[in-house]
Amino acid sequence: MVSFLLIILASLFFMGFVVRTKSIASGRKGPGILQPMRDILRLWKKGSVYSKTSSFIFQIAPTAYITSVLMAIMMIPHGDHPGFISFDGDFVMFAYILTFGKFFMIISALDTGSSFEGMGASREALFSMLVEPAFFILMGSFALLTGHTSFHSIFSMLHYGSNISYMLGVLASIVFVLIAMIENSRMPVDDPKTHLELTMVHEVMVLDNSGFDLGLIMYTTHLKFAMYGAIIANFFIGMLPLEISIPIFISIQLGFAIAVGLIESFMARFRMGNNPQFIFILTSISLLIFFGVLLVLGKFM
Amino acid sequence: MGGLLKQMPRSGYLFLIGSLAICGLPPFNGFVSEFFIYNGLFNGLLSNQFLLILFILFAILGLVMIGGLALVCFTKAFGIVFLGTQRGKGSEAPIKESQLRIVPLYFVALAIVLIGVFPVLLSPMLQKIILLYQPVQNLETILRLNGLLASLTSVGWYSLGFIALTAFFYIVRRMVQSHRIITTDNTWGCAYTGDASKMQYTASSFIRTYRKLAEPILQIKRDKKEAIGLYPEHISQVTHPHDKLETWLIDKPMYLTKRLLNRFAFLQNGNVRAYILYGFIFISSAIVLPIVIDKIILIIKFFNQL
Repeated sequence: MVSFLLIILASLFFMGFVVRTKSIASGRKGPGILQPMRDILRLWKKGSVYSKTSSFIFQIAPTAYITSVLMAIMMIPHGDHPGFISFDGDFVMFAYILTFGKFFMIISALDTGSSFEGMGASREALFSMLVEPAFFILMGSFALLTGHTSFHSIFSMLHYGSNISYMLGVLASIVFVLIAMIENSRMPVDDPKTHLELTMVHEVMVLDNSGFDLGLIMYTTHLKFAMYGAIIANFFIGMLPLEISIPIFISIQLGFAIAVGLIESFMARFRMGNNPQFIFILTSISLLIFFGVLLVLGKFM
Repeated sequence: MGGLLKQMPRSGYLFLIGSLAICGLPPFNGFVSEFFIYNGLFNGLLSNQFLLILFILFAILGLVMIGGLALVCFTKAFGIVFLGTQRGKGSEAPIKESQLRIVPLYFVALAIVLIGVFPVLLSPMLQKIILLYQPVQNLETILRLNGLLASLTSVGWYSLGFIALTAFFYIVRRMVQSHRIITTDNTWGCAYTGDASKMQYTASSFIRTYRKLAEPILQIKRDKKEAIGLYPEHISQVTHPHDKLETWLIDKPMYLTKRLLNRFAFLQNGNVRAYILYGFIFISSAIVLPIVIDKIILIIKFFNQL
């Protein structure tokens, strides 16, 4: 409950901080913090144009996408306070429900019969296929460390043992920042500001979406960022009481937004062909964490 | 291929349900089985044997990769066959889906959704199977199973909630959009307004990036006619993928065994008397060989005692 409200709150401001950081880094004053949300509200008030080729799939995909992310957000705890949904193995459902939304976005891109959108769909499918192992190995490592298999019990038990868990938390945060960048098709993998269809991933998939649907898709990106920020925050909250954990949550979300802004300002987009290698790095870092956990537990050999 | 969803909508949506289920996505039955496997794997991680942990690690990696591949595969299958517009010349006659032929598919879809939403329905059957392997149940097994069933019940309810939430959002969206101006137009074509149906993504272009990654283990024979000159002639490209692993692990050994066995082809000569002789040789060797081996062992023992 606490985490759901906090994530929704964070999603309203997150992209504003990213845009502001990018503006300051490039020497501009930049728009207000709420500008991205205002853009989405404006889209929600607009009418839509649908492709003649598209079918019901195209109509329901943005809804399925945002519902899948909201459902995933409901599973995320806030340290000691479980989310709406919590059971053993909930992070498996978390990953699969996000994939459900992605499945619909991919087929909705193919639904328009466009000459570009299939390209984005193909890339999205490939990248999400490559990113998934990192998430599962990471959660597997923490399940191994704590001996539990649900988000809530893993995160609340994380720091019972030695303080090395904070070190592992830092490494895991790096992985999650990168997962968030890839899942949201941001800078090192995809440039959301590009105007050339051939270099787009996510943007080219939603070329035919307009009005309310486009607003939903854009807001889902904000939600996803806030969701990954919440997971990162959970690595450090542990059993702390609310009056300490909420400021930690807010500062981590803020730090995450600024990090995203800085990465986007100072990093160039990779060549499309090099992206798979980059994404594989995540899996290797998470394997490193896994073996680190084995060392900590003394289970190595 | 392409655009079949408009010609045969019922088959299309049933195919979609099947594809979602086979990708192991909630709220369908595939997820329940995936959940079982993951639950076993993640609980297995808590063991103390290093080799077992390593094995489970690779099992998780494999399972996740398979899930990703299924996503690529079935978005491709559904997208290319049912979505977009016809990619070929369109000379094929319109396909009519007959009512009766679809009825069994509805039953399958119903089973897929029912197992996905209420997996506990099948737990008595599951317990019977577990009893086969473990006739005497100990407390730990019962506790484990009950824990798993509790998780599965929550999976079912949350899946139902997911369906309800999607429906709710869809209705909200419809209500909001009823006050807005909705128009239809051509698919956005970057200023190209002609017929774009032949420019759509095809199955092989959809998996091109993935294929590049898998190139080392796939042999892809490419037959390509490129465009040359100012006024290029007809261009074409045909690809035939071969599985290298299949070639090396199955085809080659099969070929070699066949060659070896062909040398004994003279035995199969169709002569009944010869077959009776084989039978006689087999039976007599089956009787005589153990006796001979016993004697040899006896002689070796005798020499050892000298």
